[in-house]
Amino acid sequence: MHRYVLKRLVLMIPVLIGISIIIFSIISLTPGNPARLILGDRASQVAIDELNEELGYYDPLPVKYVNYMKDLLHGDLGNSYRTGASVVSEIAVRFPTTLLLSTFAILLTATISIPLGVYVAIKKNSMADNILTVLALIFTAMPSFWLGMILMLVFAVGLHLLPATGSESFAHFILPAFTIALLSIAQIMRMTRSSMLEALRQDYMRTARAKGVKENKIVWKHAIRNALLPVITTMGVNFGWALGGSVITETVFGMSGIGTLTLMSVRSKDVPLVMGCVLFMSLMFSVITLLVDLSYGAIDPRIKAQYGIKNKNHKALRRAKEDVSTQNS
Amino acid sequence: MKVKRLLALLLILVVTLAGCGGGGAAEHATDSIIIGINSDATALDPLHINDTVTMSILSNVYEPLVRMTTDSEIVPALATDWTISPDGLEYTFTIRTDATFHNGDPITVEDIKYSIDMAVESSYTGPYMNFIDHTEIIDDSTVKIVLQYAYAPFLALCTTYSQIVKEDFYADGGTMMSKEPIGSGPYKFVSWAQGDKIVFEAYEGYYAGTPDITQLTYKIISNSTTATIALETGDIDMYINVAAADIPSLEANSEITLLKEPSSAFYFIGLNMQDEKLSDIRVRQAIAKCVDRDALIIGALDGNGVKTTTFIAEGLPGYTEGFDPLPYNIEEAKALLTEAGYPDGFEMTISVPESRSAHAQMIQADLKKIGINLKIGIVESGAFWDALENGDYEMMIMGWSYVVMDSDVGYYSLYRSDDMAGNYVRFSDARVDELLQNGRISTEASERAAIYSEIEEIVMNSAAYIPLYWRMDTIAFDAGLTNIEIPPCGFYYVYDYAWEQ
Repeated sequence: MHRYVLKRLVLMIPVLIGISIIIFSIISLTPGNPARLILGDRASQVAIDELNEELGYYDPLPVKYVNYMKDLLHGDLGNSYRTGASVVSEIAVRFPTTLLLSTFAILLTATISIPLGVYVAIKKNSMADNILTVLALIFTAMPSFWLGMILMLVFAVGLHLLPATGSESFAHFILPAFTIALLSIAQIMRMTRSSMLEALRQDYMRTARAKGVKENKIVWKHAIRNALLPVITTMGVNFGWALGGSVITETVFGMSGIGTLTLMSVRSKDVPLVMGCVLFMSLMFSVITLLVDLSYGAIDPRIKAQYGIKNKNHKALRRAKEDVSTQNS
Repeated sequence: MKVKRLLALLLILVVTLAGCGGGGAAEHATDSIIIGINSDATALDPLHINDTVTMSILSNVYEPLVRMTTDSEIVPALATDWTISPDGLEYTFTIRTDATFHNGDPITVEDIKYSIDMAVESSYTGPYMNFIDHTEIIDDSTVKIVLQYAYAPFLALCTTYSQIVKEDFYADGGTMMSKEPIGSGPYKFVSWAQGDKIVFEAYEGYYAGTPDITQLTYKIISNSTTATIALETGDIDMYINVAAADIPSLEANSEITLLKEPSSAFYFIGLNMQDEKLSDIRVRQAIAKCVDRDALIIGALDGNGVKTTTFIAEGLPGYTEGFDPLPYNIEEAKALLTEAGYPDGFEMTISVPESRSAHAQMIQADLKKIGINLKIGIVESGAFWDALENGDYEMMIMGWSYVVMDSDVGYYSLYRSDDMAGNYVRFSDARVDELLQNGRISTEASERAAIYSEIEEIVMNSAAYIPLYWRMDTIAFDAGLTNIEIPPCGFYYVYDYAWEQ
């Protein structure tokens, strides 16, 4: 198990390097010089040249990349062109907002969509199933900026219940979290439903029923464990995305998170900040994917068992090889 | 059955929620204001910024030598009085001695010398102040600034670029000044949550007395529609740069005041004079004569612009009411083009950033009338500026703005033959160069008016740049706020604002 985790962590390095090369090349190959962006369109050519020199703008691309990676290994992602502050601190300042928003949204999604999904799977083709299916379709089809605006108009402008914009207090997180959650609730609910139906059809369900296990226990203990794997994967992927910043939701609600930071950095062509944000997103995504994979073991004993078997096989194989080699000598 | 119960529950929930919200908009505190801005400040150090949003904020935090009123009049600030030598080279300022920095240190003539010297040296503010030769301290309350050449807009530039700082505050290399600055103006720094808000409070030691509004908060809301909603719910009290799409709903709201005024930013077409076809003045004039500005303003800007046929703002030296040397006329445009040897027109490309693609479409339709087949090349803004600097385009649309209200700012960079940061069409005319130089040096108002009239006549007839419109500045604020006007250069000075009692 530990070896597996370690292997996966090591594998993340080439992935991140690959991403960094791609992003770095794309950004560096687009035109526009940084000093002009920093100093404005009326700065003198001398000042522009000097600053570009200082920033290493005239170095060849591979040199620039190697320098960037060298700094990166020292935990230095460079300084934002726009504000001059370090990229690490810019991201660190905004991460709590995004973390809170994503966590809140994923908790909402899980607590609402999984029970609902199980419920409609049991009550297949009932009135409730149909209504919830239609609702799910409606929410899936809604663009998040629109849903966000509507929630804001109803709960902030119309009812004066919740604040419309900002991220000062917990109340500020309710509407944006629901905006993110409502869109994935539909998705996760449908997925739980189909996955549950699949599980309920299995032979061991019939066996369990035949043994006289209570229906509740069948559903919540036997079926759900088997049904949950694809659901967890999807939720994990969604969470990974959200941690990289929900660009649209954060912008609509005027929140200061990774999403708005990324958007702003792209708009102002703040290269170090764009690089930092994208790398951060990739890192978050990789870590969450790994955690999701590991959680399979906790949920499904068959997979947990496999980690062990693989290792045993490995040892067995090595032993066999050793035997062969001793025989030959 | 269950569904019905669920629906009933929902209904009850909605009704309860509606009941809770019966209170209506919250009452406003009369000593605070929250202003929505569309992007965060870059840094809070006046020597290391050059974007309008930050400059607008800092005009409240640092005290300049002189200030400009919303009527473009220059009034005393740190300098109570000033005299100008007859040759226009030396400005002697009398400095008040009762002003202090926010940490209580008195503002001395040494600080003023340091601030002006640094403003000249900085790569950010230098381009606007580098005509200053040096600063001399005469006595404890007198400072003399000597210019390299007489430069009429100097005082106007001082309203923005003479903000006073202290050398000691930069002891750590400038980190403190850019993040948690000690200022010298009416508002004192409190906190800055990056990307979220910046908070200031009135400085009790301000020499002119504390303002009515003692709590000043800037809240960053990049999306105009979100800001509109925030304004309606009272999350913010004022929003600068309202987008055209949000104007109707704000206009309809009686609790909100909407101000709409032409700004000091102007937009125009540029024709690359190094291009073979466009080097012919007749071709350029033909293009100028077939641009329908009224249609463009309606089609591309929803009517939020004021058409112009000059770059000189009303009230500035050289402004002539109704000046229009190349009025809209398709027949004459066709004749000019035929005369130039293109009776059937030709094909060319207009380069514009994404934000001005609608402009390009309107102009494309105009040029079709005289046979010019215009192709639209939408480029990313970095690429756009590169193309302009390298002269690698045929036709383009760009904007320019008055950082200070003076005709020199409008014309010098655009038309001076050796100015590479502005003269993107490569305009070159010996007479214009001479006039531009004279306009800078002359301090006589009537003489300057004559100079800029002559420049205007030459450059507008040459049609290297074709003026289109003045951008409309739109701000919206709570109807309970008074004394708010749109300032000429976009620097909102909160000191004057107040809530109605």
